[in-house]
Amino acid sequence: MNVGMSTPDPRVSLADNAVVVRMNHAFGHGDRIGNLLMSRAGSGNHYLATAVDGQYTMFDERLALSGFYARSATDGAGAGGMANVNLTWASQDFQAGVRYVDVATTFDPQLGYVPETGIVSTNFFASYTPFVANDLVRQLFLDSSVLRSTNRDDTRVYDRYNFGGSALLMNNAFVSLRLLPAVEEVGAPFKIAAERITVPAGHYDMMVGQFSIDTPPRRTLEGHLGYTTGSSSAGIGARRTRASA
Amino acid sequence: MNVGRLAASVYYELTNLRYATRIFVAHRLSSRATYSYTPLARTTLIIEANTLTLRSIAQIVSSYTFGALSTISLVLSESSGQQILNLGDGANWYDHANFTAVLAFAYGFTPF
Repeated sequence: MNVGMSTPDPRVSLADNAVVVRMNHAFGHGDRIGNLLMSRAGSGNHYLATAVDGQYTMFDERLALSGFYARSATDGAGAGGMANVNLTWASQDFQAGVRYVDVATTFDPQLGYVPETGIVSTNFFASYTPFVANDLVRQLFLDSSVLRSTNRDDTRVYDRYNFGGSALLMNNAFVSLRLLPAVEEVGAPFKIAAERITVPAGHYDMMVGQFSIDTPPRRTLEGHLGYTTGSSSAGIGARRTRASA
Repeated sequence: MNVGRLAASVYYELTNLRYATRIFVAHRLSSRATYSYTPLARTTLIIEANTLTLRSIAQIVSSYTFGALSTISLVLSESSGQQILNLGDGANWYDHANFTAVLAFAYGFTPF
C-alpha cells in the first residue's frame, strides 16, 4: 500500500549514496550467524551502522534464542548502540515468546532498525491454535500479547495489549475478532491527516475493536470485509470500514 | 480476482474520524492488476488514492526476469497531492501531479 509515499523528514534523499552489505551463514537446524553493514553519504553527515545477529535452536527447533546487537556512528553525533533478544517456543498447538529491545538515546536509526530511540521495550506473547475439525471450524487461533515500552528513566511510553480470536472454517473462510486496549503517553504533539489535525501531548487511554471476514482464498473471486472502531479518553474516535475483492 | 493470466484486486476503505467537534470522512482506494505474459514477464497497473492523507499515485511496472534472477524493469509513475516537500500546504489529493520514469537493470549471478 502507499507505494511511492514516505514519511516527513525521511533523513535520506535521492542525492545520497547508500550501501547495504549483508552476510549470513546458516549451520542447519535453524542456527545462523550474520552481519549487516549500512552506510550513507551525500546530503548530510556520513552515517555508518553495523550489526551482528544470530539464532540458536533447541528441542527440534521448537525453542529458538535469537537476537542482534547494532551500533551506529554519525559524523558530529557520536555513537550509539541497541540490542534485541528473543526467546520463542513454537509447537503445533502452542506458541509463546518474549522479546526485549534496548535502544540507547544516541543510537541513530536513520536507515531503519527502530522508529524510536532511548526506550526499553518488552513484549510477551502467546497463542493457542488447536485443530478442531468439526462440521464448521477447521482451526481456532487464540492469541494475546503485552507490549510495554518505557523511557530509560522507566517512565511509560506506551502499554499495548492484544486479545484476539480467529477461526479458519472448513471451507477456508477466515473470521477474526480482536480487542486492542492501550495506554499511550504522547511526549510531543504531532499532526495527522495531511497536517489538518494536531494530536497534543498527553495521556491517552485507548480501546480499539476489529472484526473481519475473508472468503476462501485461491478462488476466481476473493473478498475481505473489515470493520474497526476506536476511541480514546481525549475525545478522539474513529470508525473504519474496509472491503476488498 | 484471478482469471487466467490476469490477477486483480481492489481495496476500499471508509474512515470516519472524530476529533473534538470536527469530523473527517475520508476514502481510500487501492487497486492493482497484474497480467503475466509468462511466469517471468509481467505488467502491473497500480492506482491508489487517499483523501485522508491527500495523496494519490498511478503506476505501471513492467518487468522481465531471466538468467540467474537478472531483471530489467520499467516503472512509469505519476503521483499527486501532499508529498514531503509540500506537506500541509492545502493541496488536494489530485493537485501537484508529478511524473517519473525509471528504467532499471539488475544482474544476478551465483558463484556456486
